[in-house]
Amino acid sequence: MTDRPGERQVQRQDGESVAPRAGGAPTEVPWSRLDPRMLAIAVARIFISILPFALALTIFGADLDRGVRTALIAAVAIGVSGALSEAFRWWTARYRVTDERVELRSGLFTREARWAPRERIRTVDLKAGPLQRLFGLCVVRIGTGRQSGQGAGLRLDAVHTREGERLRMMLLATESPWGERPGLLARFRLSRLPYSLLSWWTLGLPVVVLGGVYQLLSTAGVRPDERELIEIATERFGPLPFPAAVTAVVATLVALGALGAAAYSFETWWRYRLARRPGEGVIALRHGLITLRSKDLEERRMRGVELVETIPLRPARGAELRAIMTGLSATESPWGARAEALGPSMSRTEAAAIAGRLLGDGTEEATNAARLASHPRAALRRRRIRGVAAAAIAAPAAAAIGQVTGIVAGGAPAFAAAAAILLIPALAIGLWAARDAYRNLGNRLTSRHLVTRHGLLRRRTAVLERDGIVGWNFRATFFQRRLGLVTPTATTAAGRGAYYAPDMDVGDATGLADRASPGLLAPFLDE
Amino acid sequence: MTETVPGASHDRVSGPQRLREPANRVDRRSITMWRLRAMGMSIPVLMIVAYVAATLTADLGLTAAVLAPAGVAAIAYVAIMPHWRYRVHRWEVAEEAVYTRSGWFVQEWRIAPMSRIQTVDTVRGPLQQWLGISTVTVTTASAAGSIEIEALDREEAERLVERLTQATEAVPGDAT
Repeated sequence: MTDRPGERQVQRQDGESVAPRAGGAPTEVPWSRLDPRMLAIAVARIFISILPFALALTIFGADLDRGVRTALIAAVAIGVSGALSEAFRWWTARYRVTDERVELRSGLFTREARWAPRERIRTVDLKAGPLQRLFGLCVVRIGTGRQSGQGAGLRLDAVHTREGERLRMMLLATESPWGERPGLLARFRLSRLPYSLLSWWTLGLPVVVLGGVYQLLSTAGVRPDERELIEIATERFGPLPFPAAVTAVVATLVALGALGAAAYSFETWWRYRLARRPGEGVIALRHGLITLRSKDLEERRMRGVELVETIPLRPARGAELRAIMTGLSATESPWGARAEALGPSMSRTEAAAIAGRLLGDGTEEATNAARLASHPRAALRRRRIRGVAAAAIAAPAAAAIGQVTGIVAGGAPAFAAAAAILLIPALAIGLWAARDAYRNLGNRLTSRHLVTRHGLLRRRTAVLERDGIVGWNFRATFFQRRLGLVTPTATTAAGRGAYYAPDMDVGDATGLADRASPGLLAPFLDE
Repeated sequence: MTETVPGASHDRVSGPQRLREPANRVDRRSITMWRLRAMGMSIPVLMIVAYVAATLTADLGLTAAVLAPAGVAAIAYVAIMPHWRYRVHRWEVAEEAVYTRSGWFVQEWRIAPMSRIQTVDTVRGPLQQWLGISTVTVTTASAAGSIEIEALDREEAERLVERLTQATEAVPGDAT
């Protein structure tokens, strides 16, 4: 293993990494510990978990009754046990980087030793949460491109940011990519902010936040009286006619949501940089305000891109750009940006242009919606049936809710009338959605890519490299078979693993797969 | 390509193409397996339906009225599904690819090239052990790309695994 140090050094060109070798002779590389400041973070977390109680007791003047005491004790107990387990982890964990591999040992009762062979390391990502940033720490995630099992990669949680940067440069044999370099593809721009406001967050955030605050206060002993709230609201909006009051409330909530979406966008995408370094075969991505995310994506693992257009984004011709690549997990966390996101919401044109510069010739053109083949009319019929069925269920359900809550007064006739009236807008929405979903269907094969497009709430245009296709599935329900339709799916190791073109004509679907993967289907085709 | 006709459609090589069915059926014992599984599924469901109906209505007649159609559906499922499945489930291993068809109401045709196969293994649950059959699972690098041949005679399954393992080892590459 270590008997050919010279050769290995030349091979990797990482003079730094072989530093622990004394006088040229291979020696044991010493083990390092995680950063002790993670203990300070664990202690800080205990105080943060007590904070809502302190606020409730001092500012809102809640009673320290039995329920509150139990909740407080539970919070402290969870915090302390969390801190103890962190301390234990710090005490037992050791890591080191040898010529061949990165090793991590942890645990005392159940000893765990993980390692990743250095030649398989594909990504080294640094990530730091708010508290970790405060203490100058970061989590280093070393990925090997495998999704699970032994050799799937390691996580050093947490080391000093300097140490993290050092490990990254050493393991990937790169320098810091963030100078002004010709490879820069995109950077933070304020002009993209409007696209960020056009998100589900804008509508959903106020509801979530208000609900969360209410929940938090009531766990901590403050129970805002609903009746009092309604009285305050009536006082405020009393002089206003009802429609104006509703408009005012909705407008306030949307404004709050927009503010939240803007804050979220700043937090996630501040310092955004996307750079391509062709010489090293790496796409470097960095972004974040409080939590800085920084990762290197290997170009040879890229299998394509996906443009995602949500309903709020579509009128403004905006889109999100996502990478389709192997060894990248689908999501990071509900609060972080998606792991495969290549940038904030931006104009569709810009997203397509970046895709073109990332994946090379033809990619930008492949995202062109106008060039996609449409799907058979039978696909529209299926969607109309679904729309009508959804309306037929939704209208009576809404009427029933109305009756239970007392908005719809009266017996069965009132219920029937309400359901009938509600059925009209429900049908309109259902049929509009059916038409939209049908028009969003499309597929195309270019010389290098398979392009599929579908979706209602989020329209996805996937541009998948044909070389990345590892197989084909064709799926048809009883109804699809009667209509001569089938849903072909290209399976791949990258991204979501399956990219499909819903409801294609059987012959067209077979032809598409046959041309996309030449020779694969040939032995199984009917002559 | 043998396209020599000037002005021929460049979009489609020949007329509408269709996949033929895979060459081999699965073992007949699969019908028993699916039937027993269907019973194992429907009996608890029927019991839950009966319990819920009885507690909600507290009326024997109404409970029977709810239970009767559920029972008919369950019997139809147990009676029809296994045979339907047996007519659909087929498999074939060609030189360069594995090809299967499965399902009943929803049917699925799956093709994976030998060069992309990552693992080949067999699973035999208690029911299958008793019936002397095996399920052969072929996985590719895609989470959506694995192929299952659900009920093969045990020895046939072993031969197939042997053959697939040799075939995939012969092809270089990391299958992604």
